[in-house]
Amino acid sequence: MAPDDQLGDRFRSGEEAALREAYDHYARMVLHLARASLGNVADAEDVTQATYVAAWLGRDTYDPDRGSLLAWLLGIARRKVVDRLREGGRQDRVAEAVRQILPADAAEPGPDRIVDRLVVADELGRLPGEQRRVIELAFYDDLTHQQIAAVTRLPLGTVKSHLRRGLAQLRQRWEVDGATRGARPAGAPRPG
Amino acid sequence: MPHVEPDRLVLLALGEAVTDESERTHVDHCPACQADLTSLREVVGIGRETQGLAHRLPPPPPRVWRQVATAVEADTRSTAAVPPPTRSYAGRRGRPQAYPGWAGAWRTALVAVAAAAVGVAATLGVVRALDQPAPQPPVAASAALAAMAGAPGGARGEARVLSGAGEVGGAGGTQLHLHLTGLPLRPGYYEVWLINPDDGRMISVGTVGTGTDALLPLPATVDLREYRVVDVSAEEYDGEPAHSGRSMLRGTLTS
Repeated sequence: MAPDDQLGDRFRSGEEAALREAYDHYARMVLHLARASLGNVADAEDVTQATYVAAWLGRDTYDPDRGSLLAWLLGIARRKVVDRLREGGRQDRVAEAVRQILPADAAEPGPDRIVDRLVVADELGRLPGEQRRVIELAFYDDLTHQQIAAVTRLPLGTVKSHLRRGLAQLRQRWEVDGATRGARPAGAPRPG
Repeated sequence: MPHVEPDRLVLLALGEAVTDESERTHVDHCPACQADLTSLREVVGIGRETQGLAHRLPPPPPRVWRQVATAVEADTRSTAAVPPPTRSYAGRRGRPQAYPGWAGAWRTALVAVAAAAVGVAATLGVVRALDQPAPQPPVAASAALAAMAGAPGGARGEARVLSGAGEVGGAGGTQLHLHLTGLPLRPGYYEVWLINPDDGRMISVGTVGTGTDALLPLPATVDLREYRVVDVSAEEYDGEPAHSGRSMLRGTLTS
């Protein structure tokens, strides 16, 4: 379940229930990002906790017009990760040594890519049920629009329109939240 | 030549169809279609990597939320318990655009709480001489500990950081001396924490009994300007090493 659209406003205005909701919905994503970046569960949990405390205390600085609450939280988490890596000095070198021993995953994604995935996954969860189902069949099962129409018994035109509208929605969210991060201007293709 | 149809662009981005000659010629020369296709492809690429993400990810263990709740409760209490120090500060707090930054506000509020608590403690005559072997080690910092919501009204305490530096033989090191009164006997135990209120991180420095003095060693490396909040929590024998979220006493160290 995706949280309601007002969550960001309610969080910003200091409603404590909104903190709990933002935690229930997004803490797992913050933890995922931290864990992927730090490679250490305990540190990732610390970062998750620190991210929520900092977000709550700094809630006045969240601007819903500039991006989603999730993207803002992930932005805070990224800074906490960097702080942790910096202050970690010695432990970090140990972790690095361990990482070098373990088989390297060449396709390991950077934090930007992880944020992109989380934001798009969140938006996918907000699409209307039928539209989401169609998109998931195209993404995860690699079905063609004819196959999707056959599986779902939807008219071909409906499948096409679901694909078009769904993708447009995902793209818009990705561009807005990407712009929040400053990685690229809204509407422009992502460099690299 | 007309732009490539939106439905068609989507299918191209999904890799379902291949561009025919006229489409390719158009896309090659049309920045708008090119940008559309590039960005749709990027979204599709990201989308295909989202399986199992978002709401299907495992949540953090419960202790993470408890730590968030503890830190947030401290914030709520410290801002609610004390009237705003100045009118201008209160005004800024109510107007989000001009909010001076949480770190500053937090510190101001904490200092105010500590000052108020020390004042009360002094008035009540709580501050007392402690039975320490002479010569007494210098007190590097101290805090009056006030009862939190879950504690009996009469509960209070005092925390002093005793610097071990310069002691003959170098024994001891830095220690935290606690004098606690009014904590009820209960099936669990009390645990002492140092909390960094800036980010909510905390370290456990030991356990204490009820109504007694306790001397707990502090790590030599701990920065008490950061980990400056002394917190006594009520814990259960539940195998959960994290803070229970039930703070009994709390105060801020000042030197």
